[in-house]
Amino acid sequence: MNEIIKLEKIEKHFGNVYANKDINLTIMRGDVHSIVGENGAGKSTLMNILYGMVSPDAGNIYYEGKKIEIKSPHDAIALGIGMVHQHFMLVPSFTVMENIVLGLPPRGEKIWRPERFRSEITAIMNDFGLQVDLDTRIENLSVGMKQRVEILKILYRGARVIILDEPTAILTPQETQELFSTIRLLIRNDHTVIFISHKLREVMEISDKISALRDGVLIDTVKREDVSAKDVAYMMIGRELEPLQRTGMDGEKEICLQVADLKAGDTTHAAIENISFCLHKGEILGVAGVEGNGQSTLVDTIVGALGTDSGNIVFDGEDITDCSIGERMEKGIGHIPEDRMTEGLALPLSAEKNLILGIQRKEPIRKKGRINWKEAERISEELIQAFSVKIKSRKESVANLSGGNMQKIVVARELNREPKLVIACQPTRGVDIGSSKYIRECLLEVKKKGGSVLLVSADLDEIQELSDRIIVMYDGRISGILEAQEATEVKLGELMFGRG
Amino acid sequence: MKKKKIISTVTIAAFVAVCALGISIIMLLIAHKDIGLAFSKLIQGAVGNKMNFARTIRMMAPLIMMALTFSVAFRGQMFNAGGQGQFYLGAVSATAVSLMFPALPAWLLLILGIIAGMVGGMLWALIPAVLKVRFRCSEVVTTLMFNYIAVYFTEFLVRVPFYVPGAVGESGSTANIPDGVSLTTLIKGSELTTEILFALAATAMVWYWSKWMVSGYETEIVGVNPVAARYTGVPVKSRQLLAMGISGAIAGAGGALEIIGVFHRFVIDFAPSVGFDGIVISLMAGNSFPLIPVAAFFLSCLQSGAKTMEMFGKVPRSLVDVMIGIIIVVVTVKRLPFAGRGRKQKKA
Repeated sequence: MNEIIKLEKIEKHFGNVYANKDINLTIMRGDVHSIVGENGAGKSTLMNILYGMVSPDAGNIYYEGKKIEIKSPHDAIALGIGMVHQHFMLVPSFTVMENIVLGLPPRGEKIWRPERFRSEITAIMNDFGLQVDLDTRIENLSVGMKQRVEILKILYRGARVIILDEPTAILTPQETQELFSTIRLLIRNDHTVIFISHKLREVMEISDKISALRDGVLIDTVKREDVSAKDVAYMMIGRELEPLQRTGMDGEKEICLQVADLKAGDTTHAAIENISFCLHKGEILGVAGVEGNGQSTLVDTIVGALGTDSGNIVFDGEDITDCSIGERMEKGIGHIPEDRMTEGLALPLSAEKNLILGIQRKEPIRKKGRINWKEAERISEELIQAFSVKIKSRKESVANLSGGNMQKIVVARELNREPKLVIACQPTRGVDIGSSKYIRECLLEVKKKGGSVLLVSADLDEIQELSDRIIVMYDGRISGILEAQEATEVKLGELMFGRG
Repeated sequence: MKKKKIISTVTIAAFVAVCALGISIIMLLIAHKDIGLAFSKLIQGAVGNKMNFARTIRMMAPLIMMALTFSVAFRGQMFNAGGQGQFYLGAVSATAVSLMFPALPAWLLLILGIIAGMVGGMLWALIPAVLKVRFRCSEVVTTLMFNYIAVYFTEFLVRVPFYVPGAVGESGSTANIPDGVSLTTLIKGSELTTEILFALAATAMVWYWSKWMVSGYETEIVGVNPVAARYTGVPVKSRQLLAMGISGAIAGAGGALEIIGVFHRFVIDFAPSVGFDGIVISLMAGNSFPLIPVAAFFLSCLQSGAKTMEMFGKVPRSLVDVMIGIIIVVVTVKRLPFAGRGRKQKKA
């Protein structure tokens, strides 16, 4: 075992904020080296420095003992460092093979013939167990498969060190296990993997070494055998992370939301059919499933963004099937949308303006047709405090915030209206551990106060941790409804693939 | 935060002005013109004496109105390229009211004229707006096309129902509106009337609306992110209609005020570039309402000075049009070297 990459005294600041400060890190050949840390801790910046997307203000990088300068991703790839980003860089309408070959320097020929590379790519697929149909278009692949293509792409470019940025955030448990076996095969073939994550369980499962970053500083690098998950969490957030306090359901079971024989779908929404379930007061109902199996359609019909073809929705004893979004909000439905950037926030505007969205027509914000900015100030300051949003002032644009803090703004806004039903879609996606825990506690608080939560999440841990009952969706239908106790990961996984 | 934004907007405006002037100087050199003479006449024409200054301020009024027209619609993510047509519709409506009811007292005709102008402009803007929210017709295309319809429709009105026999009618003009229907002149002997005060008042009202009114706030949200607006219960379509309605009403009022304050009769296509100039000013002001009068002043200085420059500076007026063209190009350059690079994304 010898060192392959050494980072020495790396520093980078944006404005007067240090993203990375005095970072010394050694990566050994053949290791799976996890980099953990909360959002904003500086993980991505560090990896972007290594991958040549960001240039450091100070510090040295050594590759196999030689001091090097990485000025662009091109340099990084030439050295054998490849990165799979959280958001895929693939052309949807191209085939797998075209995507893999795209951007390679021409080999002395004028016409682009991806066919010539087929045998070479097939060899790599076989070596690493990364089977993909080379002639399928990217748009027809599942998320897990797309990730595979990304890995193939960098392997084909000769990467020996592979950086995976939050690779499991979007995968099902089964897909995660497949990714892990790929990682193990990579290691066996003398590759090195840098694994960026904040999912502790996965980090503990796959890593050889773990480095934790906090506020731009490298806290420590440890061997996996030497630590427990609790220790790693402590390194990341600088304090103990207590487990969530869950309460069972109370005896009374009043119905909050009743969905009967729902059918819906249009060109932008996957079709759903035969959807019937009820949600009680004081209950958290989880909706699990691989993304794209109708969960978004279901949510949009309940919040009122999409009409139904048949069936009805009864909320709090009232048929709301034909109500507008605004009317449903008025009746007490809160919505934490899946995509906070496009559906949840008016990005360039201030936190204050975003926090009063939805209550602008109500007392005390509305006063004689005008907006009472004094009240808006009070409410937004209160919410920023209560949700400990990291922000310079309430006037700062939310576009400057990290994902976790953006999400806190959305959650704060929705819960501030004290809705009877909260529809939470991927509430903690891309959100750091501390904020995730806080958001989950908020949802449990809703339940405690007798409200109901419909929790749609691709994160099974989250679903299992919070839900009283779990609906699994597959191909636009409900493939199973389970009590929390009987919902094992295997069982959920099977239902998610329609093999219930 | 806000202060910073205004400062950067001002720097951008200054940069635009300097660029335009620089390129104009080069053009003057190529054309072998006397630069000193040309520019001294330009400045003299804009602010050199009381009468010229009055002319500059007088020309500001419709420019402010048209810039507001564009900016208000833009707040609701509507691209109103049809200010010109709405302006003419407002002007012709005001003229028509005065000509049809000459017996009414002048003060009443004045008020009715302005109201008729606002209604005319608003309706002209609402047709494309409805087509947009109902049938998703691109409002850029429809508003632009409506300008042509407005020019020919008003020509029809002048030539048929309001035709006056004789030279006036043949020249493409209606009869004069009653004498009393006019605005108070502020500087004697000039065309500067209280019209400019109306324009400044309109600016203040629109600014107040956007900052304080619930509907103004909702329109801003719609303009920034219509999807998020929809998901939080904001009636997106009605806010877009509102923005277009206000926008058209301002253009219509602008047209009506020009008739009542200055022209006293409707002449076919009497201000062929105000709509376009309004867009330019709006862009220069970065769509910020309080900055619109400042930008309007700059452009009206150019236009007013151009008249003197043409007469005494031996420079053709078309040069000024070229300068305005250059301004547009420079304004649309989004990434100015000092205006800050794209926002840095903070990520872990």
